[in-house]
Amino acid sequence: MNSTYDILNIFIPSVILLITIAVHTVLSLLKNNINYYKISKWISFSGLILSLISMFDVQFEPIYFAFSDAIVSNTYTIFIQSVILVSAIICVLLTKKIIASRRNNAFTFHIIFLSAVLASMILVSVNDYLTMFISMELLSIACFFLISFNKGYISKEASLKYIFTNIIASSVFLLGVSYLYGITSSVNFSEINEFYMQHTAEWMYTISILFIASGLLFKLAVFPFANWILDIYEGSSTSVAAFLSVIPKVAVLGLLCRLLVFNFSYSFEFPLILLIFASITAIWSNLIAIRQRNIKRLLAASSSANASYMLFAASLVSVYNISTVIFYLITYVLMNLGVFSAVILLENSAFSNKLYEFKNFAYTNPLFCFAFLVSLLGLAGIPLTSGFIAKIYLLSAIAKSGLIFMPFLLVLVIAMVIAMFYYVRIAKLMFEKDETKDEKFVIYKTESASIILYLCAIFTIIIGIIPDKIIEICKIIAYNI
Amino acid sequence: MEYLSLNLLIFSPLIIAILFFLPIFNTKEVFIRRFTKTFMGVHFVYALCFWIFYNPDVNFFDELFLFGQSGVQSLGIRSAFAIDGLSLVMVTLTSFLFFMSAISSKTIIRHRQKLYYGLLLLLETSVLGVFTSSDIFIFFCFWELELIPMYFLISLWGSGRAQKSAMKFLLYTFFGSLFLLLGILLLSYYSDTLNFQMSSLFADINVVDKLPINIQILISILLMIGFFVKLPIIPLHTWLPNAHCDAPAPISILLAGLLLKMGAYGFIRFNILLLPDAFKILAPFLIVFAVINIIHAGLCAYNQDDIKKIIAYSSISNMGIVLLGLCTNNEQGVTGGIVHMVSHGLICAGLFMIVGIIYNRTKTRDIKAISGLGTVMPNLMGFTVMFSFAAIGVPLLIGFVGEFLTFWGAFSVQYDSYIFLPTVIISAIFVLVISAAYMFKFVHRIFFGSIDNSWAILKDLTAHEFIVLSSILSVIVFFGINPMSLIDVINPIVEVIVESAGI
Repeated sequence: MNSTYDILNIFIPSVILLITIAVHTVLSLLKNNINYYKISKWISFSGLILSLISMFDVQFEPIYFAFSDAIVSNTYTIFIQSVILVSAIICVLLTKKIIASRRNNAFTFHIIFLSAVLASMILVSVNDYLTMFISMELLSIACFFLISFNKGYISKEASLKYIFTNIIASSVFLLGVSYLYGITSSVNFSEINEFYMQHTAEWMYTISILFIASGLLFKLAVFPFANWILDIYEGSSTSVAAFLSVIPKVAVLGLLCRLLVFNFSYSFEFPLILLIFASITAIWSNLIAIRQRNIKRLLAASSSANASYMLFAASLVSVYNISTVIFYLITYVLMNLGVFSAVILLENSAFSNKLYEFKNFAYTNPLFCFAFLVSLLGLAGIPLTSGFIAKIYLLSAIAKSGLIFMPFLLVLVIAMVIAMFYYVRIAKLMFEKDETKDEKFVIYKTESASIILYLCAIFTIIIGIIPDKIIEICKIIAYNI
Repeated sequence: MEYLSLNLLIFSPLIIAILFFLPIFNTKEVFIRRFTKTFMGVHFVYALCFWIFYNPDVNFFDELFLFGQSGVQSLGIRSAFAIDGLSLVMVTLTSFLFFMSAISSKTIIRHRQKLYYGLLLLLETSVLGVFTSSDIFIFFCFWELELIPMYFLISLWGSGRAQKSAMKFLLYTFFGSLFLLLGILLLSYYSDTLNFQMSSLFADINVVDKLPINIQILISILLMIGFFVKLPIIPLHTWLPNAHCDAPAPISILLAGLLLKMGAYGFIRFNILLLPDAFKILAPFLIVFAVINIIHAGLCAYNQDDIKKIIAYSSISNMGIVLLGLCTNNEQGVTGGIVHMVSHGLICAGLFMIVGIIYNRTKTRDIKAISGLGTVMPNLMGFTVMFSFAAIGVPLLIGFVGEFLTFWGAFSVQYDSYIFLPTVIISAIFVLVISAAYMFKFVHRIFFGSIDNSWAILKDLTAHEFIVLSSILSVIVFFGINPMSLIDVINPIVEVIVESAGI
């Protein structure tokens, strides 16, 4: 009886996603479904839209605990879940190419895709380590299949790499949970909090939460687990790479912020360790991005770098910092999906992912080039784009955290200079003239990817010029964490 | 004057630039070129109106409201703009040099004109924004924004290894500006806001007064690294010769005439006016840097074979004179420093224009390959001699005013605890010999001697080039004869500087 109540109160969006998955499952079993494979995209689309609408129905004031404290619902989780749903809607619209290449498995793809979205939605709102592990594993298993969905050897290799790294991270995570259970004899976040209100934390606690965090750091591609990301983005299809660069990161960062504020906040050393990890990642991934000649590998490294910037601010636990992380997250989602949709458009127009193919774009296709440029320069952090405001906001939050973080801030700033170099290099390539090729590069006007590209560019500029409202919202959300 | 809109002055180039990129705009290249020139001319006249109606007691002040909001209020940022004496001089210089640069672009820029003039207008907005914004954050925004058009202007229309130089310029300046950002963030850490009204009359000194002195010095040094990359001061200068060499001539004019002044402007606004206590402590050491700059860059200029590099190194040397003037902390020296900013902007613009003309005709920049051009290009030779006189500091030209006041100020500095300073400053006077040496080497090698047969067919100045050179020269002569008209405008801000930072 109680659980029915819970479902009605906070679980409606997830239930709608589950129903959509069931519809896909039935359709995938039908005999001649290859004839109407195109419909699959729109089923997922409408399911996600319905789920987003039903978000307004969810109870979040006052904070609501469901399923015997396994799931929590408050303003913060609702907001992050909405961000996940919006980016999932955008990602679904980008999946045209991969679906067209695997027509007989189109519905299967959407089953896996929606399971991943569902898993990340639950991951944001978990309230005990068991549910957290289950949703993380659901997300990972869905990711294995999504990565290997592309044709060819390279995607299978990528998937296998992802599996192995993920298994290591998961087992370390479980080890940490078991330590924590050994100390506190509970896996529930609230109970562990109460335990540490009364007891002082010992070094075993730091080790256990470090192990737990490493499971999350894997998803963010942060230092000890950063090596997988380049090959995997290259191997998976571009729409899946766009998915990987946004949705798991939003979910994991959303959860990590909550954990850092409550459950991980009893250790003094832990934020410093995270800071060191984040600094190493910022330098490593930006340096490795310089050498890449493939745009997907470059974006992989850049997404890892951006995750490290956000981890940086999140690890210096304060509510103000969390609001900057949320703001950065929103702008990052918009800019990154903009860049990925541009790459998808190029791929659909028979361009490879090599950077030198980008020459001439400024002259043959100025509007496309402008939108692409806005997203790229936003990632680099040039004024008038939302990326600049986000970076300033993030850096000012880190600076406000205290003088002892100044050396880390310096590292971060140097990493951003390096990042600037490779983003601007892409921009420069588009303005270069290549006399040898004069074929005109055409965008299919009806393509949903181009609409997304332009929308992302417009929002990037609008947020860059008048960010006030969104910053206010982020502050409110962060205060309700 | 209420009817002079500051927003219009700053953002009208941006609006025109956006207009250029709209698909409905006329794409005929001649039309775009003439349209830009006309616009820049009108803009210059409008900027002159600000000069004419300037009243030292009432600063021009304006605020940009977008959708009913000014800046980002939740972060304490106001997009406010103000013009006082210093800003006024720099704004008028900016408008003038952009006008000159647009005129001189005709013979040099031959392709992709729409993009070129669009970027030029975008650059104008960002430079004007740097010189007028009265909020640190907005200042930093424009400071960063200026990099992008400049990068593309150098890399797409440059010669030689333009792309490499443009990237070097970008990375150096971005590296410097991130130190600037660190300094600004440190300030915000201590004052809980990003809102500093930096225009001298609005300066919120209370915030800074609360800081401990060692923190002030740290912030001051961080900001200085940012400004000294732009200025440039010796260890941070290596981007400048490359960028100047490979940029097209109209862009070299802007680079030398305005972008280097941005560093000096920021130095005055932040290091001197906002953090005067730290500046008082650091000034003697900065004088040493300035003198090293003057002598070392001057000697480098003498040894160059590339004619553009001679002018580039000479501008580094001259920026040393500006820094020396600003660090003297007395009225003559500071006035001299600011006047030298203006005079070097004008002189260097003219010299880069001349070098651009020579390169355009002869297709070489090697000083050994060129000789005897005086017989075929007498007008150019006349202008070159005048400009090099101005650069050396011959009286009745503006270069003399700046140098004379600077050295007058430098010799009367009173830093009693630093006995080595007088020796250092006296050694700076050798710049007069050195600058004469490299300028006369430049003039002599190019215009005198026997002419090579291949140069005998070269044409003299075209009408465009003549107009540009003669108008720059007339400004130089006007302020050289009548320096008080310039000094009166900057006098109020000089008094503020001497009052806050003087000893």
